Amino acid sequence: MKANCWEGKKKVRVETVPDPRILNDGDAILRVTSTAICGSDLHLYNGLIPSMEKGDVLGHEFMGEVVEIGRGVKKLQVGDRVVVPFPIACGQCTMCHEKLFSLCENSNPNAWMAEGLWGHSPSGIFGYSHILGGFAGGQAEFVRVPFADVGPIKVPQSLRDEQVLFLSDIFPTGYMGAEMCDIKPGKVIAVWGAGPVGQFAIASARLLGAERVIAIDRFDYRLKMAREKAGATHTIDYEEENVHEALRELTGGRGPDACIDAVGAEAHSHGVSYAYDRTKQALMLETERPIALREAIRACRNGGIVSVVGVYGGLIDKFPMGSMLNRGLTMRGGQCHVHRYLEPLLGHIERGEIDPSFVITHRMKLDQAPEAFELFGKKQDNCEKVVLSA
Amino acid sequence: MEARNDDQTRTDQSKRGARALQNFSAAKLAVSSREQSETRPPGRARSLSRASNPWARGLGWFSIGLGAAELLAPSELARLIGVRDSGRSRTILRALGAREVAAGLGLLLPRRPGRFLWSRVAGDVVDLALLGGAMALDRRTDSDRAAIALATVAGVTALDTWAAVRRKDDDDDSDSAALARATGSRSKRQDPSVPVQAVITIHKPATEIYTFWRDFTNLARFMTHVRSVEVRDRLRSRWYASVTGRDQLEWDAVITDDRPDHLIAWRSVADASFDHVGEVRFVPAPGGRGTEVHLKMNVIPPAGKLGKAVGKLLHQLPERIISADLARLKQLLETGEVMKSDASIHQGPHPARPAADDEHPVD
Repeated sequence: MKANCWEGKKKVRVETVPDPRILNDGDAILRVTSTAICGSDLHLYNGLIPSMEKGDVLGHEFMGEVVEIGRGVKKLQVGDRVVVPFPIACGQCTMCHEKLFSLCENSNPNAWMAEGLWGHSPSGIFGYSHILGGFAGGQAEFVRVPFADVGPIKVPQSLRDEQVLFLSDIFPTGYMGAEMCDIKPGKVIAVWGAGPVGQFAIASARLLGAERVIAIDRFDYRLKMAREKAGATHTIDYEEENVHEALRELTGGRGPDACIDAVGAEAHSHGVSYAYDRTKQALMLETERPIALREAIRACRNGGIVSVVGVYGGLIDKFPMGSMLNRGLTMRGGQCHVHRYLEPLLGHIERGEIDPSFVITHRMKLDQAPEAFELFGKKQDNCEKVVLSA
Repeated sequence: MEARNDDQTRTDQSKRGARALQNFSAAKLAVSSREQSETRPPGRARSLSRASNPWARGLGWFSIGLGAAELLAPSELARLIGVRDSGRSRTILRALGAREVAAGLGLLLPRRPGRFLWSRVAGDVVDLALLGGAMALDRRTDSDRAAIALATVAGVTALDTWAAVRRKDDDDDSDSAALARATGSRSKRQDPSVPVQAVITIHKPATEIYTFWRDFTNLARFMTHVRSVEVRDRLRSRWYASVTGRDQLEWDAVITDDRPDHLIAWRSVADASFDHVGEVRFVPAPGGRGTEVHLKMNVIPPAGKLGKAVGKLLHQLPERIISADLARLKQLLETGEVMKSDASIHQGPHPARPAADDEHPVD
């Protein structure tokens, strides 16, 4: 089959690789109909995530048709059309019982590597390094899906791929980012990053009843999408305005009730802090550039919540702990527990309350994956989200 | 006049500091070489220092070069890094130069450059503090140049720390310690056995886990190196294992304690190629989270040519192996299967992509 493989920093290639096979009784094999490139794939592309191997098949946002099932699979049948959550979860361990699916205790065969880096291991993830399991991803014609009775959700034929594909990651991820903000009527939420996850965090904050949602980015086209499609009530271009002051102005000096970091480890900024973090990153004194996170902490209202869904992998520097402690902030974060959001969010889509396809700017073929990575990575041609079809 | 006195005092202090550092390091060196001759097989110790030499040597020569510049041309160097050229700054720079040369020589000596790498890291911190202080307190400091110097030192600090940490891994890693114990003389009055332990919580009642474990034939399903187990009678069993896939280890084991749902203890019988005692305890986890499984073993390394494979086993990280074994037990009991990924089914590194027909993954 054809598959998009990681070949090294800033290098991916569509190669012919062996077809996947059933390895565990609970597996299913899918014929992938649509797959997407995630902002977190760019961290792999840019060489930020350790433990990648030349030839790894990428991709953790995908959907398709079941073509084969293992002996132990009971709920799925050949021919079912499903969307697959990006974290792999067994459904049986204590974490899964507590619905913390991205922390499944049984799905990462390389747990010892993650324990070394992070202290304990999270779940395995499709196509996302060997620390997270060494699973082939879904930017391919076929993909093996472990625990097929636990993760995949069947989707009705009345909905197009584009409307349901993002249930695999970015819609639930954005939603969880908003949910962690304890939104009630009257709340003001600020969202750093108007990439795809940021757009869904904004849309979800509105779905959950936030009164004002403020989007922060540097690209006009992204801020425009946030205003016109996702439902942001205000936008801030951080290259034009001082974010802290602008947020004070928009909140009567209080600061947002909750701040969502939908940026993660590769933040940009025009100031001294960018040069500082970029230098330290290059010297390997820290692995991330937490510029958005620092700004979010400082901006947040006293006693407010900082919700982190942007991806970080290692260590950051100059963490404003004093601001967090003295002002009683709460920080929450995590890889999305996608499984628990599938049904409710599919409900929102079916009822026409949201059409997640609004983020798509580019539709390409799997063969064009290398071009797509470059386009998305460099944010050329107003690229927001690329969907690849078989 | 007063200032000069002050400078003089600082010089003396710095010189004393540099000497103290040298003495300290020399003392450490003497101690460490003694340790080495006592506990390390000489061949291994030599190969270790050769392996890390290029980095240490590079940093050593760098230290000597920088130290010489600080000792011989402090004024020029002060101007280069944007610090005001004064009697005081020259003195400090000369003292730092002495320290650099000492650290450099230490790094170039054949043994234990690790200590000197850490002394370099300590020195870097002093440099960073002095430069930072000069920038913050002395308005005559050329802040642009000093900032560049500061960034450079920060970079060198990173390199030194990295080299020292890397070096430390080589020096103290537990498998080399285990190997040292494994191959060391048994006549010493120390316990020659290697303790290995691991723990995991399994979301199942103790009875179920105990029953599964008590049938030793099940253990081959999750223990990496165990090929099969034959149960002879209520207490006795015969074990077949392989560490590399080519070798074959066999031994008999006998149960020494058996408390249903709580504990199983065993030991290998005399002349086993894998000479060990072990016990597994099952403790209910708080909050209805199942059972904590505590596995403890003491492995007695075989002497001489016997049991090369066991030496290999101890040379790998044994705790990692039995931790991974327990993780597989958990998968098996909680999900019914041992979890496989595209990479994990291969012995050694393999990209996360499906296996070809002619590849032979290990199950």
